[in-house]
Amino acid sequence: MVSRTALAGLAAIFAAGAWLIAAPFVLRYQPAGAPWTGAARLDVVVGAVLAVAGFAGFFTALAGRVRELYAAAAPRTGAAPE
Amino acid sequence: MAPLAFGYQGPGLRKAALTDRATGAGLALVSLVTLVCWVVAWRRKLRADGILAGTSHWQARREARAQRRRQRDGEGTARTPDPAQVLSELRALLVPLLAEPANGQVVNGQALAGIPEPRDEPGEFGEPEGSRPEPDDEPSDHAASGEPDYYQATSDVYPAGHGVPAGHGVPAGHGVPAGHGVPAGHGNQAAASGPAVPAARSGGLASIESMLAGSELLMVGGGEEEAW
Repeated sequence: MVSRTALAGLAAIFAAGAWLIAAPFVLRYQPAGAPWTGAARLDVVVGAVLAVAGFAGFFTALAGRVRELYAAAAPRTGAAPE
Repeated sequence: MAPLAFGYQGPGLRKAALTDRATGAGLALVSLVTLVCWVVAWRRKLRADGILAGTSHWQARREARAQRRRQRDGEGTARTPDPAQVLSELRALLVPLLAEPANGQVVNGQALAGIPEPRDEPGEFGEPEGSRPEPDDEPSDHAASGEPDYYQATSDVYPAGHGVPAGHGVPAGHGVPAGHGVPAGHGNQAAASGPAVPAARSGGLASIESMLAGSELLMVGGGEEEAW
């Protein structure tokens, strides 16, 4: 349960980054074709960093969990853990 | 903090400031929850792997407090009896048995049923031959039938009407054939029908006493209750 909540938190960070990237265009404080404002540029950069961090963290944690499941299943199946 | 740092001023930047503040607050909350969840998960895993202590500091303090409270209430002493005191009580219980007559069968006019004697050769422990109850003192039907003498001795131990109570003898299927046990109140008849209880001899409680002394030595030498 706790591990799932932590994974959900990482997914939420990724979603927040994605939202920050899309917010200037969704809320139209960055008109299309106009020079980028400082606010839009900052939101996109911070959103990209958050999205990358959330994505990497989520899949890293998921890979660790899968590895633990494989290690736990190895004694039962007789397969050697790698 | 970006709206404050960069001074989002202007008609279109109000939405940007609101978006940044709301997203920042939400991110801080989500990050805090995620961090707490990861810390709890890691600690559980470390505790399961034995790297962290099994109990936390607060839990250990709580258990120590409860232990002190139990000791103060006297529960602690009741749960762990003193082995030396137990041995003393056992010895006090055995004193009337050790002070039995020479034939070792009757204490206060009651038969000692249920204490089997070792099947040793006569005189193995230096006991005088005359100390054994002689089966020839009474007329024996078994001598004529060729049965061993301990049948008669068994009938001495379990007289008529005072046999081994039902359910206290050798259980069925444990070495005694069916129908050869000693039913209640029929000691003589059962003794005549087959082997049920070996003959009792005097000095048999000496073996119990030696066992008691041996266990006491074990306890003293080992210094642990596991020596029992």
